[in-house]
Amino acid sequence: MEFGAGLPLQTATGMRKLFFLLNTLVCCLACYGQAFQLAPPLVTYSSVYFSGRTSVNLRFNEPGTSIHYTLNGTEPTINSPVYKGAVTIKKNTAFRARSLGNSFLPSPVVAVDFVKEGMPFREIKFTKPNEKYDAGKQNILNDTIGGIPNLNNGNWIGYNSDSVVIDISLQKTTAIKKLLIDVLQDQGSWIFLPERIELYALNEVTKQYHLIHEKKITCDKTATKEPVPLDMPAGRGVNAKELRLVLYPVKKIPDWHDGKGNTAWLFIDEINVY
Amino acid sequence: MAAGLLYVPGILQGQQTGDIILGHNNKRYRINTKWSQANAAQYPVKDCHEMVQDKLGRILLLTNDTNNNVLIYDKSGKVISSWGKEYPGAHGLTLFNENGDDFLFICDNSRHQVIKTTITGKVLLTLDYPKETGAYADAGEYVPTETAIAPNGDIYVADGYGKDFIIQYDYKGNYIRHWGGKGTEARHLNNAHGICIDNRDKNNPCLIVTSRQQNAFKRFTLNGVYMNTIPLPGAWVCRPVIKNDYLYAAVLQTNLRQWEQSGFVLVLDKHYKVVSSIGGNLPDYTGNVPEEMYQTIKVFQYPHDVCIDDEENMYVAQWNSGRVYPYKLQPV
Repeated sequence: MEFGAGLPLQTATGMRKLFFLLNTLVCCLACYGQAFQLAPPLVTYSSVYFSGRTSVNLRFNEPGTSIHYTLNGTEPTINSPVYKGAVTIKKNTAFRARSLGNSFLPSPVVAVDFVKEGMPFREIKFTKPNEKYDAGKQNILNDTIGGIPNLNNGNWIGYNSDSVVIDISLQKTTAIKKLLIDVLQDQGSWIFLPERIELYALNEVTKQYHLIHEKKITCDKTATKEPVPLDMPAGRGVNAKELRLVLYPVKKIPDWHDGKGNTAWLFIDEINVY
Repeated sequence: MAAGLLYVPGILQGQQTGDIILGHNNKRYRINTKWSQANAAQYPVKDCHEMVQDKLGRILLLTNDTNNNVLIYDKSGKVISSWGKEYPGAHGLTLFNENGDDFLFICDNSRHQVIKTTITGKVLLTLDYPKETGAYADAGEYVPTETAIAPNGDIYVADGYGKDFIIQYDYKGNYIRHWGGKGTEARHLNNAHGICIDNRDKNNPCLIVTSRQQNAFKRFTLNGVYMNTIPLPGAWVCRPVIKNDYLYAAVLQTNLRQWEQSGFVLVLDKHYKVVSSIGGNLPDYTGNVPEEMYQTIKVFQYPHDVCIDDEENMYVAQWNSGRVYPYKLQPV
């Protein structure tokens, strides 16, 4: 096989959350002056979001070491399963992996949270993206492909407008628990989380949209580059067929950033309703 | 056997760094991270960009700290002398022995110039932006990163942070030709960060040029005709350094873990095949293409250059790595 031929996989090591759970230990190391730390294993998968089943592949070729992983969000230890081949994922899974070896400090933990698709959409409409970041696919936000932090991979749509409106029609009136929207955080590229998100449900009797959840987000100077799934809980007793999401990109980038005063970019790649 | 034992934090079980053997095949090393005896108050560094060894066996380090742009070490790591306060963008350091005397070529990113000096820092020649090419509107577009000097004295400059042209001059600094530049064809370059003369095959010397954003080296004739590409998937290779039969190169970081201190050092044989990776994986090959490369041991942060001395010891200079002084690695 040619290198990488035909593989839609995108490697996400390091671009996903790297949990530096051993920070304290590593700080001690600096004083202690011994032993190298292992690098994390390479993790490849086609998408964080999936329909049916998906799989995750790991690579780490260093003699005397092994990759250990967990599927429940806990930190892998020497007693966790050893990676021997592709791991099949069938349900929402908090996948964690790290490299371990006797002669070395354990690697940082690589974390990928796999998310199974929500209920089917009848239709989704959204504000036209900026022409530079318009993938031109009507189902782009509900195609179970997402969660890879490369803004040019064709999965993302991008905005630098005042607001973004997304209308979702479900197949039928359904009890809504929550909506999950995946947005990109890449402040080095002027891409910020939205400063506000509003979720509305259409009352089919009054034909009026009612606000069912509002989320406000404050810019974090130390935010790492990663896709961020934002949870929008619907609260109790919400039955709806039509949902509306309104997102407000950061109107003025904060003073600590090179782009201070400008409108930030907002990138979205996937929406699921549960 | 480790299995079944209680998990013991690595700090209690890890070996001393000097006990670890790094690398593969016949290019394996023990590392000494405390090689430099420089006192940071007396000899401060910012980025440690490049290193060379002179004919006296001394190791010269180029840093962009204008307190002392050039630190001159003996092989034991003691600073013997220093010079240079006028190179704020000191980046590329090449040594050329001309009729028995050592001369240095410094690429300065901030000054947009290449400067030839004696080994003690006396300026002999300054090359400004190459107007003769017709490709540059002003000096600001020209950000040279590296030079290579041919046996006949011709000077090749890689404009690695500018327009990615290679500009060839004669030994006096007269423009001869230029090639490369940005583009989509094989002969084009993207971040031509380094360049060297490969004269391991005495009958067919060539130039090896870094195309760092493309994770590759590209070979050209000494007249600038494109020959072929040496793909190094995933690796942000810096300049190629030839010593005897081998090519050495620092890898600043990998594609997969950008800006996460994911660097390592590669050793390639004379067929341009990776035979050792210091702090990284030894890739399998499909044809002449290695599999994607990645860091395995966090030995380095952002390695920027390697120097191999007359005893085959390796010195590694690092960019943006907490003002760390170079490490020395001894072959085992």
